[in-house]
Amino acid sequence: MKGVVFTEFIEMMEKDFGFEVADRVIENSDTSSKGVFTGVGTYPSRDMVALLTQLSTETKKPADDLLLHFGEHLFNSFSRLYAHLIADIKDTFGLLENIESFIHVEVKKLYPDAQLPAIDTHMVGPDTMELIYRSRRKLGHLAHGLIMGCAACFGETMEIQMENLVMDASEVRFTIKKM
Amino acid sequence: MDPEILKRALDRERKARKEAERIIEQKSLEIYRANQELRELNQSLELRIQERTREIEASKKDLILAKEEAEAATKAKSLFLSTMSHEIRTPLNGIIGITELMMQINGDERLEEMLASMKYSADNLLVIINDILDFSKIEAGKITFERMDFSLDALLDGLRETFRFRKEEKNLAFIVEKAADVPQWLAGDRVKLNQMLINLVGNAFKFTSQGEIRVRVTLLSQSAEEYCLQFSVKDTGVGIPSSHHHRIFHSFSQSEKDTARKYGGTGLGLAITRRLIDLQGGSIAFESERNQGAHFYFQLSFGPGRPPTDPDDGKSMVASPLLQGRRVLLAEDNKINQFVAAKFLKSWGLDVEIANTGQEAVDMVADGSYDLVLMDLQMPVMGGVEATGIIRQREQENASPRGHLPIIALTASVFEDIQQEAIQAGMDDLTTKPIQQKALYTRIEKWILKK
Repeated sequence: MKGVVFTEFIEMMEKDFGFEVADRVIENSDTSSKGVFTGVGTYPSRDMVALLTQLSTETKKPADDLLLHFGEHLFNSFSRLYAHLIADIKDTFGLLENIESFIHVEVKKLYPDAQLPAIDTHMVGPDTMELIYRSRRKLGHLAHGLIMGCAACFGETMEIQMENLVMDASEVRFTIKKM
Repeated sequence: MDPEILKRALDRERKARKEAERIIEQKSLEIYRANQELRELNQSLELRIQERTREIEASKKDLILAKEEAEAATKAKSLFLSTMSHEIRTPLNGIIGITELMMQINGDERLEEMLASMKYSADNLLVIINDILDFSKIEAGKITFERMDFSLDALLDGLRETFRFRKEEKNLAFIVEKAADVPQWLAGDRVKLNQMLINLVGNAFKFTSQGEIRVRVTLLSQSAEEYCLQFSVKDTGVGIPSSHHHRIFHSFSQSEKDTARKYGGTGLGLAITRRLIDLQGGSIAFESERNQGAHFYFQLSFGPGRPPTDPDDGKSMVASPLLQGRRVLLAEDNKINQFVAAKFLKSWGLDVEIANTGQEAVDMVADGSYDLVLMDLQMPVMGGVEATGIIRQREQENASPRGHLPIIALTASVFEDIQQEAIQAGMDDLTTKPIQQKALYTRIEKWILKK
């Protein structure tokens, strides 16, 4: 998993739960890098699971909710860090349908080894998009949060339904309706 | 410590880290793009190399093809020239032979004059065709030189005789002189020396309208084995402008574009002469200016020659009475040649019978008794070589009581390998067409009387 996800996760903890919570979560999680992350590094997915679990314990909030929240935060950060990539994109659907064909291509240029989720989109109605998320990391809730962050970024209100297509949540269908 | 200070320090560090990460990503992107460019360049280079390789291969193939075509074309040209010349020689020999026979019949004066110029034209045409044939022989590397004793005086006399008619016609002085220290008897290729001299003197006559043509033979050096002679032909004709000197010995090249129209000729004579001299280890040069005449001279070496032991050089064409009534079989398919050869043979008192093919000749030899066979090499149904082989085989099988039948080959071919083939097939001798009275007589007499 890319380092930027970890650094942003830590910043999200610091900002939304305070430095003390963030410090405890990091100190109490058994991460391979002993809590030291850089955005340009790559770390095992289980490190994220460890941090998330620890934060859930610390805050007594369900992990899925935390992931959703983190997704929103992460999109916000991406939109600032990589503003040049989305400068020409006008709305949520425009961005979502460009993930696979454009954004992931740019990511691969920087990190040829990156293992990225597969994202398929298609419009099912004039204001409704269906988005299929497939990843063995099973971070559907993070994806959900990212979609919400995206809508917020473009100032749009979306009604998002999430449905596991496979029991283990490695394949998830989102139905996104613009309100 | 004030936590605010720590927080500011942390902020700075974090910003520094993010800046470092941004720079790394930017560099990564640059490296990615540079790699991409390199890859593309590499691919385009590979494509260009493949393309160039294909082009080179293709042009190599084209070149090989072109070379093969050119070689085939040269071969075809040589073959065409020699075949054509050969084909033309046969009927031409008929014309010359019949003209000679007509000249022997005394008619009125005007007819004789016309016959003389007809003979002159035909001879000229024969010279041109022989030139072409010679040239293709030289090009095919098939020319060989003979070494025979001959009289230089006789050769020079012949030269005077050859040009007597033209000398009188053009009212020119024609002087042929030999230095006192040049020996009369030499050993070498008389026929080719004659050919070269006739060519140079012929050119001199062609390009001279007044004044003189002077042939001089001088001795340059001598040793026990050879005499080095210089032959010089000098005229007072139109000369050769210096701008044309460099290509005067090239084949099919004449001094000026209208030379052929004004003076005739093939443009091969000098090329042949030069090649003949080169091949014999001699050298030829010339000096000339426009309107100042031309002076051609060449050096050639000859061995010392001996006069023939037989004092009778066959000068008189009086046939031996011993030939009277002897039987000759003439195997020849060409009607004109049959006519000419039969005329000669009959004039010497011989009985002549004619076979039109090799097969007929074989049958007639089996049935009748002949003293000699004159056998053409190229005949329909069966050629002379094959026919001779059968005749010789039968002689051996039957232990023929009549003994060895002399067979003389009659051939228009001047190629030595064809002549060699004839001898190998069991022919005793050969004579070339056009039939020359003297040459034919010498052989007939030799072989019939030998028997």
